[in-house]
Amino acid sequence: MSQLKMPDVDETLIARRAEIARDLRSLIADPESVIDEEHGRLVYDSDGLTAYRQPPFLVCLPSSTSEVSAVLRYCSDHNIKVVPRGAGTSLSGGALPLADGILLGMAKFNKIVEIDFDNKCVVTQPGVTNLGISKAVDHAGYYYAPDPSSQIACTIGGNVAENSGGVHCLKYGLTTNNILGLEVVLINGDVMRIGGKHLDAAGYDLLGVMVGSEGLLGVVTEVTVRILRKPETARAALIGFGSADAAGDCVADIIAAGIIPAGMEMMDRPAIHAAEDFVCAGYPRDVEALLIVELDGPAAEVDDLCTKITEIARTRGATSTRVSENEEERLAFWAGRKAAFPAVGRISPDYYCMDGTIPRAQLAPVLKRMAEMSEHYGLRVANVFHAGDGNLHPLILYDANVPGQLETAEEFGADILKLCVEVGGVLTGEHGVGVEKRDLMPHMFTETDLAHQQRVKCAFDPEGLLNPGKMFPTLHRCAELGRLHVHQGKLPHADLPRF
Amino acid sequence: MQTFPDSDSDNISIARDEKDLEDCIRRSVAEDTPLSIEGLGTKRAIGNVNTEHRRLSLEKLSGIVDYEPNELVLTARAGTPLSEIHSALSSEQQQLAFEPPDMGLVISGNPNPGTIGGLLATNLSGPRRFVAGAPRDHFLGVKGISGRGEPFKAGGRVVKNVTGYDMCKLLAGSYGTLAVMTEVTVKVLPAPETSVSLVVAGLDQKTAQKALTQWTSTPYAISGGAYLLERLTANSSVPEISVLDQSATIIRIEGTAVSVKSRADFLKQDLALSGNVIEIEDGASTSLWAEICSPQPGPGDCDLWRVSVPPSKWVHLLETLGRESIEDDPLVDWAGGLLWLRLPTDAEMVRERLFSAMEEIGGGSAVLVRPGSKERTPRQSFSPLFAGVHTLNRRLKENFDPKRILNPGRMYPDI
Repeated sequence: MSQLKMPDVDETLIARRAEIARDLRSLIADPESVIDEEHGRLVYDSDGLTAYRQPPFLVCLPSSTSEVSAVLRYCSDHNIKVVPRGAGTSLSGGALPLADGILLGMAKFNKIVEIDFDNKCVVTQPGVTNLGISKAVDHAGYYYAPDPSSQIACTIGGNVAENSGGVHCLKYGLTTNNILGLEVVLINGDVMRIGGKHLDAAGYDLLGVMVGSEGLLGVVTEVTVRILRKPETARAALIGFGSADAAGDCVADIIAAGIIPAGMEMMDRPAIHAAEDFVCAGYPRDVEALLIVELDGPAAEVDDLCTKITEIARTRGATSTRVSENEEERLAFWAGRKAAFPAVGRISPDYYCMDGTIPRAQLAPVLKRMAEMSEHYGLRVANVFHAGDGNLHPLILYDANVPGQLETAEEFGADILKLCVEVGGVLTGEHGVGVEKRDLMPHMFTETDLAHQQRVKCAFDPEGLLNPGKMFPTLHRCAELGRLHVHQGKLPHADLPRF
Repeated sequence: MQTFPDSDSDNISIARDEKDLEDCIRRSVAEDTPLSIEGLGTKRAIGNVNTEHRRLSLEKLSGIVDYEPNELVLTARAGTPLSEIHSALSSEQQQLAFEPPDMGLVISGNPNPGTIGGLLATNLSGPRRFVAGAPRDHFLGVKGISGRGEPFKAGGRVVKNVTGYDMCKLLAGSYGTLAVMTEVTVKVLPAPETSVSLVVAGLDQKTAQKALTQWTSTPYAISGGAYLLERLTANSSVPEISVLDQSATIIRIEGTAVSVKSRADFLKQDLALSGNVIEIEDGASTSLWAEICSPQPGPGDCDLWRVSVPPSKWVHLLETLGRESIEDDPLVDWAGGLLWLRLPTDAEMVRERLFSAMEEIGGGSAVLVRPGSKERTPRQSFSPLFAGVHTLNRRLKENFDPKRILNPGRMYPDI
């Protein structure tokens, strides 16, 4: 495991494990929902970012809002840290446990509460999977739009915490644009309802602040999501180019023509070959970049736009263009892209998935710089890219069994993310900061910028008990953040723990 | 202490740049003197603007900083007039998809869409709200100065970004009570090539509600759904509507010409089941939705409320409120999700009845956008918050503006 500094462990607490487990069992109905024995705790030692592992102090699996409230109030009263967890699919270590923190697993919140077609929304418990919501309304021709590639496993509660995206973000938005209401339990045990089935809520936009807060502000116990009517039809175009430049220009031209595709994905040569070797999707092997452009909506519109896009691709020198003629073909086009990660997994013992966003126009120069870095670090990289919204997913190939390679891959990854910021982009497009990008935050934000973010934290969780060690590189005490006039040019609070 | 040469009176500071603004806020923090933040003043009727507070104008902090149509982003100083932004966008066939309403009309009788900063600070959106979202959904990045006198930035210039808390959302709709925005980045989108409106006349409220629910449940991507009662149709400047002499239930379809025609043809069959279908073409359709988007001054002396409700509940709300409580015909937008209500001015009982009616129908929010002439202080312009939510709002205020310098009391007495 590579080095990661986490908050200091409270050893006196660890000595009281059995006693605290006993207390927690008195707060929730099912005594087996508190796990204190070692093997049981080990199950939860990591999330999707498997490079980091830490068994939790205790695991607690509540099954009602009142149990969550009781557990959080207990933790608040006894100054115990809490790490919330959905399905544990975070790729940024958002649910990485703490040695002295209670892991609050939300898996038992797995029921859909209400389906309301008249108001086009679903009220659900947070442990329901992303795909589970779409399946529940599929019979009536509806779906839930954000579709992270982990949608079969990831929970809606986790999506809220990470503001998850997917391939359809450009047209349909991220999680934050598709949530109407939340029930949230604060660390002091207070239960509050934010938003509802109406569109505009009163007061500050707490809903907007909660979505993407990575479990640092409160625990979500109910979610109201907006559902959409399924489009009448969807078609995809598979377009190959001799250079990434040409593919990038084609993407820009499509946007400039006023077309917002439902999805617009790009893969580079290594990713294309890995995918084709794995699933035989029929991708051309003789291209440097491949675009999948999906259009959805009324049939007449989709057909019209497919023609326009084919024409744009031709003007930009596409070497191959195919438009899906039926649903089977459309799904085949996507099969390679959707299998890209496991496909890369076949050609390398391990890979490290990065997630940065850049202005689209920077794509070609960024790919070029990445190729240079790949040479420098001696590690291969394959690229899949949500080209429509500028979200890059470079996959760095390495072998964890070769000493030092994970560290090299991490260094390479950090350089890619710094490059994203340098060209006007951001550190993370849809995976979150977690522990993974925590220490890179100062590359994007000044101390004062981060202090303002932490003041949001202070309003919700002044003692900093919820998911500490994630998102922020420095643990500030709220009392000190509360002082006015931070002096420029001098780091305030030099005594505070920095990671 | 800096004095501003542009100041036109003792009680106004006109910031020329970020430095002026920072100095002004820092001075106010030091002297404990609250500020009233303003752009072009088109939304000054919303909430409690304390006329005794020193005014801080952002009018001169104006201009588009960067606009890249291919990246679908625009960055502008907060005081940039929306008219300037609209015209830059329309020259590239782009737009702000959430359709900002023009609040100038109800304030002064003259159209004036205000500034981009004022729009984001009030989070007001138009008819496309139920499909395209509100300003909050398009607000990508911000630079500002908090009530601590500290400049900070948040967000970025790309559409997909989850780096830290979504501070843009926190500032959207915060009415300048947490920070003064200096520069903002918003997502822009292609403007539709054309639009068509389909109208069915004479439906009663319950039938109209069912019809709007049903039509917006089709896969034909409807981007507007409104219900105008008789008196409102009579006042319309669109001839097809003003001749109706009865209520109008209206939907809008936008997109490429081919697509709009095909969808309109399908929808006309659905709509025909409810009554005769009137089709309104591109130009007139645009005027009609501009009218629906922006509140009109309206008749008489009354309070104008903007009420967001679950879309299937607006008739229930009107019934609970009672016909006698409403001064004039309400306008229904967002396919039922928004009501513009005219209530008797200064009638506390009616206001309380509105808030309890919202609770009864399962939630909602209300903003008084223009009070009638009977002034009262303090105004209650925003529907009350649940106790816990109110506490969180107050704590956010305390953290961002501990000395209550920025628009104190504008939203709620302690915020």
